[in-house]
Amino acid sequence: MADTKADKLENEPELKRSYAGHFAVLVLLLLISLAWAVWDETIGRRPWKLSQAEFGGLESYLLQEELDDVNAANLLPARKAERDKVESAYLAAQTAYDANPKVLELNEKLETLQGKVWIAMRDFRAARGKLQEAEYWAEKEGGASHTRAVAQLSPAVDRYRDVLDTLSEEENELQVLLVSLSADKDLYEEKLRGLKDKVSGLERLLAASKRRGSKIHQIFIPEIGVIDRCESCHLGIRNKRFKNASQPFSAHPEVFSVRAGYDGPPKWKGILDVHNPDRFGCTTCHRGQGYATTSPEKAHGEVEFWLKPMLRGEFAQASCAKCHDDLENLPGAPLLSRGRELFEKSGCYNCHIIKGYENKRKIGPSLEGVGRKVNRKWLKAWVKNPREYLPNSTMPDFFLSDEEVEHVASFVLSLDTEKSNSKIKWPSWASKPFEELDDDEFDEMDKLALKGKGIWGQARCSICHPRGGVGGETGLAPDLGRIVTKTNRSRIFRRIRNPLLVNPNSEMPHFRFSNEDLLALVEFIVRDEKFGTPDEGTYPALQAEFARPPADAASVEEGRRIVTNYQCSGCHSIPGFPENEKLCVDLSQHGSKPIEELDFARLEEKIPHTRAAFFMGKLSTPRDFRDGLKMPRYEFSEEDIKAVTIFLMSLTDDDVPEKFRVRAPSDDYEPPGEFGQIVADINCFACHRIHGRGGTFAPDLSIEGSVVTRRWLNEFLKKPDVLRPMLQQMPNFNFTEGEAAVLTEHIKVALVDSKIHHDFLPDEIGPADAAEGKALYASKGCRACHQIGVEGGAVAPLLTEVGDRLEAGYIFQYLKAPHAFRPDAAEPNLGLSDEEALSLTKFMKSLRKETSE
Amino acid sequence: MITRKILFMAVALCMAIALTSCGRKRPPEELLEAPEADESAEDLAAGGGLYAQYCAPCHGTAGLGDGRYLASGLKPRPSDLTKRGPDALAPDQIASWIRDGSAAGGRSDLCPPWGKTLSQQEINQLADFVRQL
Repeated sequence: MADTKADKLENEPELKRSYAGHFAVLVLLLLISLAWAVWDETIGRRPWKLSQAEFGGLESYLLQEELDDVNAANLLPARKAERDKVESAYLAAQTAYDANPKVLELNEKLETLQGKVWIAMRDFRAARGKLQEAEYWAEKEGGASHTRAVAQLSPAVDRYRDVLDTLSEEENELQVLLVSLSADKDLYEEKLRGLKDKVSGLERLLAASKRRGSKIHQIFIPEIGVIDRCESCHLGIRNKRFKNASQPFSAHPEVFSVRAGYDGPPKWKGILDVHNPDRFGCTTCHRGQGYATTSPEKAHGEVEFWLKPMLRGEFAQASCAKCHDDLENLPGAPLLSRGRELFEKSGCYNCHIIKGYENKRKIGPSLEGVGRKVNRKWLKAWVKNPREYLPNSTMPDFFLSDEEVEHVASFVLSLDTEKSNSKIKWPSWASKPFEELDDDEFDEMDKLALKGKGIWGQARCSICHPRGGVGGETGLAPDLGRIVTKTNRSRIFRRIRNPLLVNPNSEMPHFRFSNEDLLALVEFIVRDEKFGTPDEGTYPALQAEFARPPADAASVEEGRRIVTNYQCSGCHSIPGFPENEKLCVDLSQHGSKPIEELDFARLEEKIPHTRAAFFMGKLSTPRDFRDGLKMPRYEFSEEDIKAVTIFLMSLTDDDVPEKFRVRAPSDDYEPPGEFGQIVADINCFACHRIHGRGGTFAPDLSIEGSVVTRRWLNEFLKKPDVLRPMLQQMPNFNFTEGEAAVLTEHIKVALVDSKIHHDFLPDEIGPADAAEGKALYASKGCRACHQIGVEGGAVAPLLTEVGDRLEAGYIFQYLKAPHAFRPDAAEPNLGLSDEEALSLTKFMKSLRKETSE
Repeated sequence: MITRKILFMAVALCMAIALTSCGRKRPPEELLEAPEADESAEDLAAGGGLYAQYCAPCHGTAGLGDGRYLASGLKPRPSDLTKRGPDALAPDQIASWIRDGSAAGGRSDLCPPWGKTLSQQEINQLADFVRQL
């Protein structure tokens, strides 16, 4: 049975077949996959190893080059001579020091003294020990004998301490003397070391670069989710030596530098000096997938489904907003800050929902009663192309056809719910154009307009309002170069009389003109050609009110539909429309929104599939994406589009712990009481800033009370004198005596800097006290920029009566560190000593009205 | 036997190819870029900005010594920075002149020292700008 079985098996063809070939193939496959696995494990998944090897070579190469240069330079005759000179000078100084009899004597003295100190110290310690023991017993057991012992011992301890103090003082004096004697030697020793150090330092670095192993470099900061291995390839990123290396080894660009402190010589720091990667990581600013090490594409996050691909170059500015609130003054983020400015100026938040902008005002004027404000012809031209009338208008282009414009105009002009206001007593000839005025009327008109011209000048209107592009230094107010083609005299009158009553958002100050002055000013505006040329022989502006337009109900209804469709009520408040309805896309986290959720539509294939390209497309050609979109087009330059895009990219869901945040100074300062009422009425914040709130055109008043004297301030408020160039002067706001007193009192008491002392110097400084400062003033060349009397330059403020104007404490502090008060001051920091600054302050305070006359 | 040898060699060859084809290490010379030309242009622009703020009031926007705020009584008048010649500063003196002021250079005291206001880098940028006026 068994045999047959064995026979059978032997005859089994299967057993006779050879599988060697199969095995060979499998073995081969196995070996190949093993080889591949080994390769992939050691090299394929570790591309940074090659980078590190290359970097090592590059580093050695650069160091060697530098070392060669230094060595070659050291061999130059001049350098060699210098080195030899230092060396021989050092040797000479050393010999002189060693041979100096005084040094020997001092050293001997020091030695004796040190012996004495040792003995004194020993005695002192022994006495103190005894005293402490006595004190212990006195405290523990009490009793007269112990107290007596303490009383007996303590004078001895004091005596020993005195001896020890005297001796130590003597020792210190001797040491100082010795050091002063060795100053020469030490100086040359230092110099010599400096010369040698460079070479040995480079040699050390070179040796280290050759031993450079390969390893992952990681930054781990759990609080902000940073696990960054970027420096495994970007090895030269912190080292300026690699400025010209190609990627990935190049050093981080400087980008910007900031001034560290305003006192003393400035120190400028680059971006990595203020954002040490060990504290902030790389991906915090640049995004990307910091822990990926298997390929550059993955590490940079430029792969599918990674939500935050790397931000390169200027786009990294988008990350600044993660921690910084105060973008306006942030160096190194010009595009981000410009982007936010444009975003706010254009009122994007009026239609889009964005966190933090929910309750901002509508940027457009209210359309209520607009029918009495503007004429139809102007309105149509405006809706069609706002920039034709006002080149810097913020109203965007809605791509409306002429027909649509017609309907919109009908609708807008129908919004006339305002009560007619015809209480103003215009002259009888007011609505006549020039050619219809008779001689008497013309003279009257001319006189009135001339008076108005004077008022226009005195109120410094052109500081804010340009005419035909001329003037308007503050950039706050619209160009009035064609105002006569737009509106009418009633409207102008009421607008100037109290701007906030007409437009609650107005930034125009309340000038408190009398009605007579207002009539004159209006006459000047509607008659002077600088405010536009007559339109077809008549001024619409001459009319007190525009006639009610004949309403075509169908057209009005169509207009309403268009206005609703484009959500005009986002920027304008319109009677009958909801006040705070935002229908457009929520932009709050647009910078980190998954890219699949962005609707590229028709442009899917035409523009790169990135967030930046999408935003830029939306800003430059908003209607190209698909039909029926409503987003208007803003007149942005390419740079502006980039800036707004960077701002949009900064709107992310990132949440950074408070300790990383840099908060802007809060701008919710609310001026209190009567002071507050006057400030609100005049609208001082249009130009002045207090504690972070308000404009920057005029001086910041946060510490004005410490800067100027009470008397000068009071006089200035009542009658602003010529302090600055014509186009920066403060207008006269016609304050009453009482108001000026309230303002002065509040500024002097509340808006002060506690570091500046009010009674820094006695009030009366005579010429005798000022002599020293006067000499200093002359020798420091101050007169190159400052003028006293008729002598000196006119770059900086006039100092003729500066003693009346400025507080002594402020003058002193300002002289010591001008840039601490005005970072952009063109004044040099002269590094004055306290004595010098005090002398100059005395001289400044002596410059008063009485003395100048 | 022969097939086995061939097999072994093939495997060895594969591994050798795999290991060596892992990427070529580039020599250091290939890893350097020529210094960017616009770097000096940037410096010059920065110098120009500083010049406009700190120098132009007296020396004029073009450096002719005719600044807009030039006072009639200023003596000596601000120097013409475009002038070359024996009286003018040597190019390598300009930076230290800006840093320490004109008085330190033995001339009038009207041009103040800027060393405590500007960094050395800024002074160098400024000097570069002044040199090309």
